[in-house]
Amino acid sequence: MSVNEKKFIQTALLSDLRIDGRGPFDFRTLTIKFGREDGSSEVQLGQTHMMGFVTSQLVEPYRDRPNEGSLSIYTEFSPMADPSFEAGRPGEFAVELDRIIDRGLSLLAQGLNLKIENLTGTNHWVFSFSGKRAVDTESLCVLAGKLVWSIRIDLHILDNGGNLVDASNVAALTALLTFRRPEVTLGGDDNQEVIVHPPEVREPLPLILHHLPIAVTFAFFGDDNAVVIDPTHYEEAVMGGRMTATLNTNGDVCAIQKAGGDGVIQSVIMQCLQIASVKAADITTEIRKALTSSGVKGMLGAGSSLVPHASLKLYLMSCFDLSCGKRGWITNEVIGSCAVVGSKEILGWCSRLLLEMCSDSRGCFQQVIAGRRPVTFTPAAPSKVETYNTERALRKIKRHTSSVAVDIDGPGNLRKDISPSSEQKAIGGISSPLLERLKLVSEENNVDKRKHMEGNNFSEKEIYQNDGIGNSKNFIGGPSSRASCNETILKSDQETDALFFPLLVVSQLARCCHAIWTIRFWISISHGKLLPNKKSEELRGDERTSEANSEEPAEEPKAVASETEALETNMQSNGSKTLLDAVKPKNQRKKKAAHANDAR
Amino acid sequence: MQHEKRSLTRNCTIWCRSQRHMEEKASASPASFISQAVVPGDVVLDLTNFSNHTIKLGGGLYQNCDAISVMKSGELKFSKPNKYWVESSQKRYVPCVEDHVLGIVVDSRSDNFLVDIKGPALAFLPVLAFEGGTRRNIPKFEVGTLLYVRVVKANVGMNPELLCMDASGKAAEFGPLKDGYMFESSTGLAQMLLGSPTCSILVALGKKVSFEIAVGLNGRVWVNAESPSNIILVSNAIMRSENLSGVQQQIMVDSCFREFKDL
Repeated sequence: MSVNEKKFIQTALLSDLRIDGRGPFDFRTLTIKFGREDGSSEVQLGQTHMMGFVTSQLVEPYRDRPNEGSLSIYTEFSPMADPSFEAGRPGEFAVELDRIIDRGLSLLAQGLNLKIENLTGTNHWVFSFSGKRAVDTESLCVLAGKLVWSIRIDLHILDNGGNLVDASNVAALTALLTFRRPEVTLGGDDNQEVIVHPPEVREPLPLILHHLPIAVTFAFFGDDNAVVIDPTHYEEAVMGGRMTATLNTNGDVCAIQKAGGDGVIQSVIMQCLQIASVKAADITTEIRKALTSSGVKGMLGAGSSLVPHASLKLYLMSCFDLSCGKRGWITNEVIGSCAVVGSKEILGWCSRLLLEMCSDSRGCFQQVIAGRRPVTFTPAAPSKVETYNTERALRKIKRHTSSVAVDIDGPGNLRKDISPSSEQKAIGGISSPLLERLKLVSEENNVDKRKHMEGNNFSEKEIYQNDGIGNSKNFIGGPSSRASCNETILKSDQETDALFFPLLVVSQLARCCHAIWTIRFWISISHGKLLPNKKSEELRGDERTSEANSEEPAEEPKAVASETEALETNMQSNGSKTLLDAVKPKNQRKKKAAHANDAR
Repeated sequence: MQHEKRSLTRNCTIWCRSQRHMEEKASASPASFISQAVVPGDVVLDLTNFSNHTIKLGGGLYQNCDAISVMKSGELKFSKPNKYWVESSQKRYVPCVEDHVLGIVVDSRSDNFLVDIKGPALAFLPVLAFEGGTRRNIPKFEVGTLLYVRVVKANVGMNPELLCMDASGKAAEFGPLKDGYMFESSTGLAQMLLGSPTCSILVALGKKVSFEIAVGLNGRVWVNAESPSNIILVSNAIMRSENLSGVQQQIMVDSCFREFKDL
């Protein structure tokens, strides 16, 4: 680096100017992308480019922590990132950087109480606060003392444009947030046999993160302690000292690290911490946005081919909530009893159910949300990304184009359209409008590209037709009317004979918590059972209560609340339709299964 | 003083105006490759038609008996009376004779300075390669000094050699550059900045800010102005202007102005 550059950077900082035109406390643009696999992320902070990968393995736990899993971080300094990084043995700078990154990220796993390490030299100290761990390692325990999950984070530095610590922190966090580990159950006689379920059979589970520690790096220049945030490569070559503060949005200071360099006075440190807390909030919002926009896919992981008519247990997994809450997926058996948890959960297990029932391996249900994913499925706030996601989810769903189909616009329209059929109260037998619809459905082979989800402006979806799965017919009435996404029919792709679900419907339903009983019917039907009328009443009742329950949680999307009432009336009428639709001769069902299998 | 509408040449001292960047149409040349994209292996000139002519070959061209063939892909350029070269934009620089480049002193030896010119090997600058240079007045360059130098020898596999004076032995603005700010970009941007007529980005900037600029064909650009904010403005505007057309550059300069003047 030339003398001119060094001098200029310092003189410009005297007037609070940075060479790329940023203010002293501005971060560079942060771009977060996700790979196709769970647990892979790519982060760009200006010119700095990092990739993070998370993998898991079952190992024996440490002796002193028999019921905790472990988290380990490995950084790889690729020579293409910086000429000073050598392949193989890392240089001195690389080792120091590795240590800083590891220490910052180790807060994710360790629950350290106030601990002050004064390492060599007076300017080298590490404060660790916060007894809370970011990653809940106790949930990683499978068999206490014998088997635990060991999570491994690999960080690859692709381009060193400065501030590797912050970028690697974000990369690790985002990779952890999208990582899914396989589900294990204990079986055998003494419950000591560990069965690891492959992702095709059981939905993999996300990690539980209590909070997101965000690292913010400060660089100090000169005697007057000029401070800048997020230094670039050139500023790092010129700076006198560096400090990294790791905080979360709860206001906890997780760690402060300062490895040598110029001395700094206390007031500057306090000022830095205040700035860091603001920046941490910004970065957390960015991470959240990136996750939700790309992300239900991230949440649910690879929904590959599923066994059709598999067991009807649904699992409510614990999904961490980015706004510092927790949600659980519950194990449920749909046929027979069903614990209704609430509308958000419904969505989760509905999707799971659909996954199991559906033999489609295209992953269209990857877009179905589990639990509360307000952004993706809030019709009140559609975004381009949402539409893309839902479009993907629905691309195999065909919209019913019969006259009974409700149009997209709103509950009002729905009601209007459904009113003729709403008069039907009897559950037995298929009413003539339904018959009509069924016929129409079977006749239609074209792809109907309409979107019916309220608030979601989907671009074209390919919709395939499914002839004759009773299940599909079920959905004609119920879900669509409910969620103001009108009739979504489960159809099989005539070309591929795969089954597709009206996932969008389900998601909307979940919000209105109607999905519970609707799905129930559907499932029972697929197994040849027709639920009696009174069950439907019960369910309707359940639905109401669950509806009420669903409104309690504070984070209920507004759209749901506003829509529930409107949809309530529809629900009833649709319910009856659903039951009616349930009639499907067994032979056809089997054919479907065969088709589905072939399709896979 | 700053905003007088004077021509660019007065506001902005362009230190390197190499002749070879005056683009002119080929005259009576059978080569139809002028200003065309060429790839390695193309034979662009047949010397059997050129008897008693002297042709100067610049970077990217190679003489193979009677045929001039291309070694580097890019655009073939010609300038009167007899210079041909291939232009392309890369981040790496391949040293070529008669290029004016910006180098950074890395080390000093007894008989020459080691200068980094962004090429595959460090270049040698003899300690006597200055105007009136003798053993008594060897300049003392510390490590990191920025120099504006001329390449005199550039062979594959050998370290290039530099000179801090022009062909006649005069200093002619070669030598160390003081103050200012240097940034690195691609060789294509440097060629654009050195092209004639003056590229629109420099014209647009010159109308609003007074600054000094030195462009090295190895992609390094040095900018100096009175205030740091002006330097930052000019350097950022130039860095962003590489792939823009003339009009786009004007627009970009205006937006840069709005953005940076708030600093």
